[in-house]
Amino acid sequence: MNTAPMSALASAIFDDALRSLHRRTDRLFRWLLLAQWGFAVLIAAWLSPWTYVGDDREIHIHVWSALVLGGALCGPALLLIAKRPGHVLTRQVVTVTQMLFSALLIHLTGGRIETHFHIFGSLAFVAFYRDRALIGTATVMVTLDHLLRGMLWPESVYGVINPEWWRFLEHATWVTFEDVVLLAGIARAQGDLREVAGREASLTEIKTTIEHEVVERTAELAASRERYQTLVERTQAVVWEFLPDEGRCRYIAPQVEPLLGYPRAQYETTGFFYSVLHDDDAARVIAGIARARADGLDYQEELRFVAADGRIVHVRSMIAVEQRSDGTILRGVSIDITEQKLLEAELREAQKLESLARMAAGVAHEINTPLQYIGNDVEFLGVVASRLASDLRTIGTIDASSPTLAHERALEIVRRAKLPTIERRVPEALTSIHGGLRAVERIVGTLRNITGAHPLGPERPGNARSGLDIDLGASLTTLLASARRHWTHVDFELEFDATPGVVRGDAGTLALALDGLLRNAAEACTASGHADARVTVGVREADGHVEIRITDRGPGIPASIRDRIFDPFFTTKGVGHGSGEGLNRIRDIIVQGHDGELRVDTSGPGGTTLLVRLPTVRASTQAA
Amino acid sequence: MPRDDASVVAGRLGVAALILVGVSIAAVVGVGRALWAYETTPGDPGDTAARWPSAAPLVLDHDAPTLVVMIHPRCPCTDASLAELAEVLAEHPGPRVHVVVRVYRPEDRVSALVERARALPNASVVFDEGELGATFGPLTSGHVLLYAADGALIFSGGITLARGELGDNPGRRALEAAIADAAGPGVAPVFGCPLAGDTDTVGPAENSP
Repeated sequence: MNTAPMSALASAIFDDALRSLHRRTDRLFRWLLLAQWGFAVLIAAWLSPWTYVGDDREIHIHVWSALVLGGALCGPALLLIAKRPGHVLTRQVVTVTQMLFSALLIHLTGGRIETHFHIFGSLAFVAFYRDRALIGTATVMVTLDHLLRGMLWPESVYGVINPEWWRFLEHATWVTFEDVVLLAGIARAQGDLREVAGREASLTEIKTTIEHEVVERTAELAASRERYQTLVERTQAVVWEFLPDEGRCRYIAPQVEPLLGYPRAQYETTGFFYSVLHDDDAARVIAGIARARADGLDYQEELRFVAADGRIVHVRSMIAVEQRSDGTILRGVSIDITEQKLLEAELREAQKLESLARMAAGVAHEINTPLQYIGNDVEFLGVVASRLASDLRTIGTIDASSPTLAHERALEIVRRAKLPTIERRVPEALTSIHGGLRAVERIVGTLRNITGAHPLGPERPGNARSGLDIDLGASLTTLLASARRHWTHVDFELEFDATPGVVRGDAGTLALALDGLLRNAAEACTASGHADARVTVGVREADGHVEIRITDRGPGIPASIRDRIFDPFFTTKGVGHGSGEGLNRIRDIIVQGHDGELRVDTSGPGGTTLLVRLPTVRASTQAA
Repeated sequence: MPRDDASVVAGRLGVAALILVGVSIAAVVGVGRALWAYETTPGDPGDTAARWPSAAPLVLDHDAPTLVVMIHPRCPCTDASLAELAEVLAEHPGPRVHVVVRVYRPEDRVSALVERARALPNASVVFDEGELGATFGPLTSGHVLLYAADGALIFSGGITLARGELGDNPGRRALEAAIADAAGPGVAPVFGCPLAGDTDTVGPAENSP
């Protein structure tokens, strides 16, 4: 038996289990008492249904006794079982009743010694209560019954007349013998019950601890869920989960509704997502999904949707790819970049205007020099013409009365007119004017070449196949002249290895791209603070391509970002210093617009060389 | 008020319980007394023939005691009397036994008690419609008469302690003594159903010698 002191909880569980056991046993006795009552009536009715006086008969008094005495014995016990189950008084009364039933049954069976076994059976039933006191009560009842009846009517209990006075003690001893067995059983059962209670108590304590933890974890989970929900459903980004195999979203955050104007549930239907894609982006998006399913690599994409009200919504999506045995799942965050796209377009226009202004300033400077000496020459010619006219007028006024004097006077005027000088310098001036005009004409032609027919029209990447021939040499000369005017502290050098072949495309956009590269180079030089700020532009022809190397003396591009500088929106400049789109756009113009190539040729602490390769359609027709 | 209601209910319950316990005790006492009276009140001993009636159509054994027991064929108390008699005869197998069964109706001849009586050692069953009973005189079922070989009545009475009560008792001891000693007179109260009803009285004096 476990004698270790029990915890308060174990004690409570033990007491509770015992109470429950008492109630259960009470219920058991309810049926047992009723069964015994019925059995008593049946046995009386079977053994002695009638009593006779001659041929006349009446119901035997044993039947009445069984009915009435049985009921009278059962009544209080049944009432207590119904109203006070588990109460100590109930089981005490039940015990007394049970032992009296033994006496009744013994009597109804005519004192059969076999019926005495009912006493031992009753004791066993009473032991079901696991209450030692009840064994005492039952034993006292049996002993008292034997003592009193032994004194009053010994034959009815012992089957002999004149029994010894201690005979009741003999019977009590046998009852006590069973008591010892039952008490040991009760002690063991209580020990087991205590052990179970102890185990249950520790389990309950563990359960309480776990429940406490569960409550805490649940609260944490709820908080986490709330955070997650806030992140997913309150921020501007739209979180989604797309099943490419089914062509539908399994989840999409509610922000999508105000963004595109369609009910959220529609995205969960097959094909809806594709139906709202912009026509121009559909093929690219589908190809991207196919590639993701094949290689399982995360990627980013910009795409456009047609909103319910017809708006074009630009979206940038960061997409995580999960390949599973049952299919690929794409999860991502999409951000509305429509506003940003508009700002970028405006910025590009502004940059274009800035470039054009810079070019215009350069062109103006270029034109200024020939115009100056044209002006000087024209002024000189004017002075010559005026003096010649004055001399002629003077000659007209000479007095012809004296031919000699007149002749001398005319010769004097001619001598003063310095005709040899005029004859020498006027053709020079005319040649100079002519050269100046040729120069202006060439510069204006270049400007027209650079700006094209649509200098401020909608941006187009140009087309190498359908475009016009571009004079790269002239373009670069003009761009460098413009750059020199703008970045006066930077020394720009242009080196031609050979006259470049003819490149075909959109001269305007190509000039903007090259100007952008010059700008980056100049800014890199400025950033390095190098005393000898120099940008060298080298041009040579190789393998049917024109190679333009733009070298600066800037700080160089770190290797870690060298692969990313052409990515969209990548920038190393601070906020407010450009969108970072420049190099990406420049590459688009060169790569997509002119079938060319743009890459970092070399880069180190001493500077960076960017290489532009453009295919030539034919060799230059100009003389070197 | 719920609390007051609960108190009222509890109070009524207490009163009901007290009444129930009271009725129970009264029932136990009343029925117990009636039972006690029923079981322990001896039957009418009647006026038994002190010597073997010569008119009796039964054989008196001249070498051993002859035992005559009068039984009611359906009396439940008599079962115990026959059980005690079987035990007595098993221990004292000498007497010739006549079981006189008082017959009231045809089916009485095949009752369980008659079968039990037939099983007694050295016994013959005689059915009687009243005359034989009147000849010997007992008025209560289970009444045992033991006559010595010379016809003298050496025991008259019951051999159970009470009605239907098995076990040792003075009547049985007296019978055993009478059989063993072939001497009397042994007398004991008899417990059993009356053999004659109100409409069926046959006076013993009428047939007595």
